[in-house]
Order: sequence, then C-alpha cells, then structure tokens
Amino acid sequence: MSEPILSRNFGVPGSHRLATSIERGGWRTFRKALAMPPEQVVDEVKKSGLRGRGGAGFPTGMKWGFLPKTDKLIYLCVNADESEPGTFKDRYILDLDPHLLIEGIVITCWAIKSSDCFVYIRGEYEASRRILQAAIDEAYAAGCLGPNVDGKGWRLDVTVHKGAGAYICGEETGLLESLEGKRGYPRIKPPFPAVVGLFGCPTIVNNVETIASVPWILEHGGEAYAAIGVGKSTGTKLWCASGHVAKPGLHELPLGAPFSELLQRCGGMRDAARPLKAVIPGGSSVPVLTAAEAMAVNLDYESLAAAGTMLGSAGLIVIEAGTDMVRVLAVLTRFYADESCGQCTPCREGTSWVNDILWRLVEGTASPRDLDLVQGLCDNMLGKTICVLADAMVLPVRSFLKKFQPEFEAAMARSRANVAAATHA
Amino acid sequence: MPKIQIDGREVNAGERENLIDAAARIGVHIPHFCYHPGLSVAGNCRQCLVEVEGVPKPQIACNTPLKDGMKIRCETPAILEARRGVLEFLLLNHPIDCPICDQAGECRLQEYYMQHGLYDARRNVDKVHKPKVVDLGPLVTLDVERCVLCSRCVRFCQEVAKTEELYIKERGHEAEIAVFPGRELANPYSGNVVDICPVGALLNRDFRFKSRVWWLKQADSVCTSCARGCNVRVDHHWNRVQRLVPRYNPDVNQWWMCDRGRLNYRWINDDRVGEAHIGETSTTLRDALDTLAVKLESFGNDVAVLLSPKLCNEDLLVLRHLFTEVLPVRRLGAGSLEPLQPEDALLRRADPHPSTWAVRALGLEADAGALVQSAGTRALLVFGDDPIAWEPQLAAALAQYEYVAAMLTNHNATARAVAVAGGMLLPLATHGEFAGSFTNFEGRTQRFEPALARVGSALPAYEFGIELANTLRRPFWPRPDRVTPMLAAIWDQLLPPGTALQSIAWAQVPRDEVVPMREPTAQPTTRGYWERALTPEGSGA
Repeated sequence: MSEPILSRNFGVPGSHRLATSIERGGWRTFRKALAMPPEQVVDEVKKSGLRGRGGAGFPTGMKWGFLPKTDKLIYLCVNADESEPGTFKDRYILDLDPHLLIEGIVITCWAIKSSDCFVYIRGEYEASRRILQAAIDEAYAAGCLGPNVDGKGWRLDVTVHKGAGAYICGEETGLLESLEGKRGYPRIKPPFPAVVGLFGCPTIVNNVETIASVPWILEHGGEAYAAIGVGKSTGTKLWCASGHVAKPGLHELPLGAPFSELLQRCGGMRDAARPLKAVIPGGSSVPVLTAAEAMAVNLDYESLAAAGTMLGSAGLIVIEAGTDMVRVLAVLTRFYADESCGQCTPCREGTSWVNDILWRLVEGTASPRDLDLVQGLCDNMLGKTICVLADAMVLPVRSFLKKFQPEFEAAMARSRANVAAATHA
Repeated sequence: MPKIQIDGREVNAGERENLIDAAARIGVHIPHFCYHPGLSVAGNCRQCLVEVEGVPKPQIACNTPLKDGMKIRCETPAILEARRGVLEFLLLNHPIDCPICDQAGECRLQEYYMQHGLYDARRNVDKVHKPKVVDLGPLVTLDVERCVLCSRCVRFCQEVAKTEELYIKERGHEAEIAVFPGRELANPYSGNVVDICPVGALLNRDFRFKSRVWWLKQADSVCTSCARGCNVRVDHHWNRVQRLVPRYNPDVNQWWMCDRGRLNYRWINDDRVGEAHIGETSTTLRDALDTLAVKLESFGNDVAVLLSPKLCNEDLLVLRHLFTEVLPVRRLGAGSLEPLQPEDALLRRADPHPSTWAVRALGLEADAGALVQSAGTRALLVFGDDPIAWEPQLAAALAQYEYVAAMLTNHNATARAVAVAGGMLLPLATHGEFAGSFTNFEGRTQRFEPALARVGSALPAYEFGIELANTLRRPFWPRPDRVTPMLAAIWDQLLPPGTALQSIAWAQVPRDEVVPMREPTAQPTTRGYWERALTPEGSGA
C-alpha cells in the first residue's frame, strides 16, 4: 500500500490544529498552487483522474472545466452533508484533519477562480462543525484565508453553513436551495449548477473527500496520483466499514484493492460461526452483493459496476449469515420513505408505499400479490424523478428481491400462513 | 425557431416555447399538473413524461428545451405506462371523494384517469389522512387530502401576487400546502389559486357546494369592476351567476382576475328591479314609457340626463344620440360618485368603472354630484349606477325637480330615493343579460355576451332609448330584429365623427384572442369511459 493521502494525520494527537498540520507537511502545497495559473491547476487535477467522492464518481477536473467564462461570481460549495447510511468518511476528515480540507478549498477556489466557498455541513455534525470552524478561524488568523490570502492580494472567504437534518440536502441542487434559505428541493436540470448554481451564479459542488484529495495531487502532480489505483479509478479512497465485522471503522485503500483485503483489515467477521452473507458496498443506495460476489470483487468504480453495483459513497455495510434480509430491506426503505422531500410524485408516494408493503412482509401480514406490486412500483419510480433519491431506493430493493428471493418468498409464505390461521381460527 | 417533430408531426416551435404549449397547438395534449404557462416551471408532478429521441430516460415535457430536429413521442407504450404509473401514485393517498368535491367535472385527476388510467386499483395500504377543511383566507379553503402538491398555488403567490403566503410544510408523503404561521391567504388575487389548482384541493368558499360544474352554462364576458376590463367567463345556472372565472387574454389580464372582480356579481342575481314603478306602485313598462313620453314632451328640453360610466359603449352611443339629436336636453353628462379603488401593477385599476374611457371619448364626462345637485331643470333622468349610495345627501336634491326618473338594475339607495320623490323607476338589464362592448382604460374595446335571461321587463339602456324614441313618435331606429347587426349598426351610424373611440365595426371587436381558462384536453373527458361502456366488449357481452 502506498502512503496514505487522506488519513495521514488521523492518528496524530492534535491533528485538527494548524500547528500540527504545518508540522506534518500541511499548508505547503497551496503556495505552489497559487504560483501556478488557475488553468494549470485544473489541468493537474484533470491529469490526476480524480473522481467525485460523493457518490456519482464524476471526474472532478472535467466538472471544473464546465464553468462558463463569466463576469458573475463563482461559488465553491463543499458538500459535507454526509447522510448516506453507512458512510462516515467525511466526518473523519472534518474531525481529524480539517486543515487538509481547508487547504484543498484554497487550491480549488484558486483553480476555479472563486473567492467564496460555502461548506454545507450536516446538521447532526455539530462537534465536527465546531472543529472545522475553529480550524477555519486559525487559517484566517494565519492569513491562509481572508482578504489577502498569503499576501497574494486575492480574497477568499469560507463560510460554514449547518444543515437541518435532511438527507436530500446532500443532493447538490437540494444543497444549493437549502443554502439559499429555501426548502431543500432538488432543482430540475438543465440548467446545471456549473452554469446556474448558488444565487444564480456558476457553482461547483464537491464532496469533502474530493477537495481533501486536491492538495496531494498538486504536491506530487496529477500523474503521481493517477499512478495509484487502477484504470480510471485513480488514487486512494476512504472506505467506511460497518455492520457485522470485528472492527468497524475507516480504512484508506488505493482504488482497486480487493474487498477481501478490506475485510481482513477489519479483522474479519465478528463471529466466526456466522460467515459473510452480503455486502452493500456504496452506502445504502446501491445494489447489494452476495458473499460470493463480494469476495470476488475489487473496490474500484469499474469493478463494482461490472459486479452490477456502484462504489457510491464507499460505505460498506457488511451483513453476516443469519440476518433477516427482508427486515434489512424494510429498514433501508424506511430511511428513503422518511427522507423523500416529497417534491416528485413517484418518489413521494412510491417510497412510502414500498416501505409499507415491506413492513407488512416483515410483520407477516402481506398479501400474495405484494411482491409483484413492489416490482411494479419500482418500475414506475426508476428514472422518473428530478433527483435520484427514488432510484437510490429502487436499486437496492430490486437487488434484494432478486438475490435473496427465497427469503422474501419465505416471508410471503409466513404471511399466507398467518392469514390462513386467522381465517380458520 | 426550432422545428421539432411531435408524434411524427412537424411543429415550428417558438424560440422559448414550452413543449406542452407547442404540442397543444397541434392538438396533442400532454397531461400535466404542475406546469402552468403563467408560472415558472417546477417539474415536480412528473405527469408530462415524454420520449425524446436519443435520450434513454423519459423526460418531462415541461422542462425539455426545444432544439431543432428534436423528435418527441408522447404515446409510446413506455410513456403511456409511465403516465399510468404516475397517476396511480397521485391517486394513492387521494380521498377519491368526487361525489362531494366541487372540482368534479373539471378535475385533472378525473380526466387523466379516464384517458390514461383505467387500471384496477392496487392500493393495499392505508391512505395518509390529512386536514380536510382548512380555511386559508377569506376566499379560499383547502382540502389537504385532495392536494397533488403541484405547487402551482405556492408559485402563484410568489411570482404573480408576490405576497408569498403559501408554502409546503413537512416532507415526503406527509407534505402539505399551508399558509405561513400568523398569515392568511388574503391577497387581492387569492381566488386565482382556486382556478389554477388542477384538482379539488383549493376551493372557492364563495362557490363551494353551490353547483355541480357540469350544470354550469358559460358565457364570455368582461369584468365591470374596474377600468381594466379583465376577460371573464360567466358560469351560470338557474338563471343566476354562480361564479366568475378569468379567461385568458395575453394583452389584458393574462390568466388572472382580482378577488373584487370575482365576487362582484351578486348584484346581478339579487334585489333586481324587474318591472317599472311609478312612486311605490308597480306598472308595466309600456305604461311607464307612455307616461314618461308625455312628461318629457311637456318639459320640452328642460331636462337633465345623468348617464353612468358603468353603461356599455352601445348604451352611451344610443343615449347620447337620443338626448342630443332626437330629444335634445339641456344637461347631459356621465359621471359617478363611486370612490377610487386600490390600484396595483398587476391588474387592479383605481377607476372602478368599465366605461370611463368611452365616456371621455364621447365628451360626456360630467360631475355627477353637481349635475344632480343643481341641474336647474324641471326633470332629471338617471341611467344606471347608484349615485345616492355614495352621497346620501343627494336624495334631498331630488325634491327640486318636478319629475325624476331612474333606470336602475337594483333596488338601491337611488331607487328608494326616487320612489320617495314619487318618481319613476325603470328596470335596467345588467351586462350579464345582453350583448355589448366595453372600452377599457387603454382604449381596447372588448365585447361581452349575454349569459342570463333578462329579469322581468328589464331592458338594456340602448334598447330603452330606442323604445323611448319610438314612444315619442320620433323613431330613429327600426325595432331590433337581430341583436348583432343592430349593435354593428349602432357603431357604424351613431359614432360621432372625430371621437377617439375608433370606428370599429361590431364584428371586428376582438373576441378570438380569448381561449378557455382550462386548456382543452385532447379528447372529451368521458369518451374512454363511454366507449368502454357502449361497445360489446365493454358491456361484458
């Protein structure tokens, strides 16, 4: 394993302090970047092959390149509304190395010619917000932020904005609406945020982890970053392992590492008697993998896509044998039914309808047509809404129904037996 | 000008035209709830999904930018299935209480279910229950359960009324429309949210439970509540106006009308003068005309005539001709004492009269108070309006005249004062009962059509003027046979040369700039149902 890029300072005492950061080699690269023309910084990031770490995996340099030539203000929004179930990577960066993020912000803003950055942080991350704000204050005091960044005569202001606890505000346009003080409704596209974003101005929205990867890229060059990982999945990635592993936690691995390596790092399964049953690899919104599929898969964008799932936010939820998959799915759908913003009809009504049916299945009160109905409702939701929240529920639901069909049929049989018992009682 | 294909038919779309509107022009109705041409695009109902060639996912028509050569398909099996699916979601938590819903008969949910739904219900979970009768303001009540959350009303209050009373609270399937705490939906245009509500969620408290909409007969008319002249549709039944709704006119009122205009119809229905009275005694119109003719002959020209700026163009033209050429009187003027109304940049005009522009163009403008107070004539004739309601002390001024006659629509303060003075009261028809035209504050002439049968022996003022001349044996006009040629002839023959009112032939008074408020659907609402019911397969044979 190459040297860690993002988690380099995680074990160091006081890693959230500016002094520690500088001591450990932080706040060095931004001078190098600020000495380069912005276009060259963008080129370097393009060369690195860095892809958005929020979930969609869109090439970051290309996204920056979509900004139109304009007289308007350009905004950078850092998406720290980390709410995907099973995901806690951004939180580690915010808590343990906020200066890495802030340095990344400085370089990114220089590259996209922005002087205003908003960090939209999840409402529940109050402790992280305080740490980040303290770090920002330190950076201001040190002249790394403010009206005259590092004496370059360039202004950069970073504002932290706290969300109010809505998953949908992590969707980039929902985030922009929320940041503007409106209801967190995702926007219809086109126009895209790079053209009409925050307050009608061109805006780049990037994930915390994406921005935190930028300083290393500028320090060592895009090509060095591209040399890590495999194919189009370059660099390293923070993996959040949760569920039935011996040591749940965060691990940095180069993209392309096999899942088995990550499992090994987590100390294997928590109970030797209960082997691996399934893995949801990318936060709850992606199709599930069976144990066999998971053990054969490498953790990078392409391999996971080839396995019929997605890298997503890299929140791996590990599930052991003996777990009731019907119940797991019902718990998942409850999240989406709860978090649907209610804007689009199929998602507003569909998520809760599917959720209600699945809980009936769990409770043994489902009716025989219900599984077909769930499939039908999924067809009517997929790809028919403004944002992908509905899709994010449909994909896991379909994969669960397909890969663990016998369990769902057994649950249906229980329901049938219950009905029969009630009828003959 | 992008040239696109919709279901294989070429359409030249406007530069920024919405696909839904472009399709409507060639008779393709793309079902939709949240899109409204007068509001921003929200794209949330997902009912208008269409297939755009080369795009894998179905796209919402309302937010599809049109590009040259684009090929749109609205009726593919996948699209029809998607529409059906969205409808099923919309109806999942809908109470389906059509039998007691005012919207039934003009409801998008009903129409689209008949056209695109017709599925067997698969609902197997309890409906979400929400508040039922929530009064949002003086005019509007909300049934939250019926709402499809299209957000048209919210956007109307933000973008058109600019008062922002409404918002959506909660999220997911718990979401509902509400007024912000401590506020009420009381802006001067609040009634429009009822018109644009595609379902029965927002209801007009004034119209609620008054009539099923399929009984309503409709007539195109013009609002007379201010000088704007908003185009309205009179919905009537049992010979009573049941409601007024705006008609689209891009140059005058777009899709909207104000609440004052919307509610200003009760005087057409109630407390009407239906027959002639002399003093307190009712009489026939024939008797009244004979009596009045004798009186007028005896006074020579020592008569004052007060017209109202609420009379229509034809009334003003005929009466002006009558009292200047046929039976010249000493004083002739038109004026009103009604106070000015609040004005704003959207529609409302301070001047509460529909005909002020025409009154000025014909040189009839006069101070109504001064004219009644001190005409110095032996007799006074008043046509229309209610001057004494606005200035009660004028009642005493009637005593100075040997004879007073008033032609009025309602038993109002002026009618009572005339009765007390022993004068003559003549029944005047309202603009809801005859055809004519008004010229608004911009000089735009707009016609209106009769909606109702006339009350009793009421006549429009211009017909009365013609009858009076006949009774005086000074006929200047043949008895009317057919209304429209006569109105055209009034314009042709009685318009004084050189007036600012353009010499506009009746047939040319624009009315085709009017399209129905609710866009017509591609097929009659119930066709699918009846076809099913009447064909052998549908009848179960």
